[in-house]
Amino acid sequence: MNKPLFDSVLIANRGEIALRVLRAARDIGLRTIAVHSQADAGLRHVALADQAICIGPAAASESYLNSKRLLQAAKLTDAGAIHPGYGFLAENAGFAADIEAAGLVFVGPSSASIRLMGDKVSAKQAMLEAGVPCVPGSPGALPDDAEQVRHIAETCGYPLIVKASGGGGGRGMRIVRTPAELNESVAMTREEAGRAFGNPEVYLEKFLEHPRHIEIQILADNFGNAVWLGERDCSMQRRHQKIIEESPAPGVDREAIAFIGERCVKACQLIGYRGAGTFEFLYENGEFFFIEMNTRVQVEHPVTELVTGVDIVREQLLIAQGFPLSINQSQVTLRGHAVECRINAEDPFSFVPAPGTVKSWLPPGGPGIRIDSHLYSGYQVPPHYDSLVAKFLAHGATREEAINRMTGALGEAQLTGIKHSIPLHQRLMSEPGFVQGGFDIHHLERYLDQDKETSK
Amino acid sequence: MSPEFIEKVVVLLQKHSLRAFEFEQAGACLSLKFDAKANAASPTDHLERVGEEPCKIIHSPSMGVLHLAHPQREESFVKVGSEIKEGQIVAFLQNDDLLEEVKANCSGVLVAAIAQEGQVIGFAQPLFELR
Repeated sequence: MNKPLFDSVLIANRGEIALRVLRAARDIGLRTIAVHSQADAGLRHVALADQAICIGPAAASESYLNSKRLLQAAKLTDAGAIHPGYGFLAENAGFAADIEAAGLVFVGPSSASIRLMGDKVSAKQAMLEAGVPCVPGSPGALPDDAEQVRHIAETCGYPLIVKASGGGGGRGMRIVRTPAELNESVAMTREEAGRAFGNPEVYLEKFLEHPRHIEIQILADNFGNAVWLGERDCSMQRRHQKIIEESPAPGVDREAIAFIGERCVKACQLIGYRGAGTFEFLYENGEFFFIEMNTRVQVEHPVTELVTGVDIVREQLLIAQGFPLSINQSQVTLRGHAVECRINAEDPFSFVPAPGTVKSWLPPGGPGIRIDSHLYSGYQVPPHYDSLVAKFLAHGATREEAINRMTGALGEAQLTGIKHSIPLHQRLMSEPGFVQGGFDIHHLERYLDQDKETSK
Repeated sequence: MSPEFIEKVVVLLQKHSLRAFEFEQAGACLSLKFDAKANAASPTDHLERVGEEPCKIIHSPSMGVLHLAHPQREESFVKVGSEIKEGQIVAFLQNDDLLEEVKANCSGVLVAAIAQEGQVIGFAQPLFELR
């Protein structure tokens, strides 16, 4: 075996994921370096790291998002590698390139891969080449000729959504349900787009009414080996934020998932992908449609770890050290069912962030329970960052057993001093739509709206 | 060392917001220092200071390896018992070949050096205690 490329890692993140990375790094004997903002000196992983250094003020732009300061800290502490976690600079191709240029190892894919998959158009192109199904739509901006537009629309099928190329965040789009509405909708969206974004270009895509969010976890090494580690169903969302994730996805044909998983592996090999990654899909009426790839470890990765037994963060570090994958596809099997509840420091029903000081924290335990959290009694949740404070995971032989264990864990947990979303999860664990499984991405918002109505 | 030369140097220093300059040639020595207030780097710098308590701790302005003496000189800038004036250089932070001055942000008598020579220093880390 060749010498590993590094023996120390700087963790360029905070909160629970920084602690998660520290534990994996410690397990394989790496020297760990924590960097933190002035607001985060009290973080658990800062206390546990072999070395810690404050890199800047609380504002993320002056600390965790400041590539220059992170690299400066890496040099001062003689770090061999940088693990970006998720969020912050994890999918910033420029940051990865700076690390490469400094002669350090970025724990993740090459900056070129991040760039390729970060651009919606080039990502979709790469996926189509690998045979990964994408949302059908116009290849680019719609032509002026109405007959050509009609032809493109027929090929995609109705209902459709017309979107402004320069738009985003839900603005500049219109749903088209019948061919009769097509011409007018395209014309109106063009006019609005021209006025609102200074760019009248529009494109069209098939519109999915009730999609589920299903994603495939992959791992790939530097030697062309890649595996897919099953899927996660992340359809319980509010404003595009995932709240509950589970694996496997209830009620989806295993062969259909295997087909998609194999295509994702092929895509990784095609683009020379390295590290952990996730292919996100919308799933409707038995069909998968690729939406985007996340070129990093995800919040919900432990769901996959519980059902596959693979330590994804450890694999990330080993791959970055230059080792081949420690598993092959035939060794990947899904065992039982896992559910994750994201616990945020916020009002459980208004979702208003609620930073503050934790008075007491008694995490639950027992068979099949895993708690990933940086909380401790006396910890101050700062107002500057994401409000995720804990991830509750339950694993069982069946989905029912996993949900039962989760219900027990949520009830057992004691977290006082701050508002948190445990009460919301307690309700969702017995909500009929969740219990049944297979709900779409609008389910939670419908449930919350209904709840508001009835409590009036 | 002509007055024109010195003028050019001053313009250069201002252009790059540098606060100090030392130059030695053929027995002549030129040392230029700008008043930190007159040359205030940014408005936020000022705001941060306003919010602080009456200082008796000198914090590190950034990250680096701490040097209590200039690398080319033997004696430390300050010693326990030294009288410190606001704006006075008390140490250097080194990053690669770059040396950054650490200046006192208050006056007083040095009672303790909290950090050690050669130590890796983080942002806002306490370095000296004054009385």
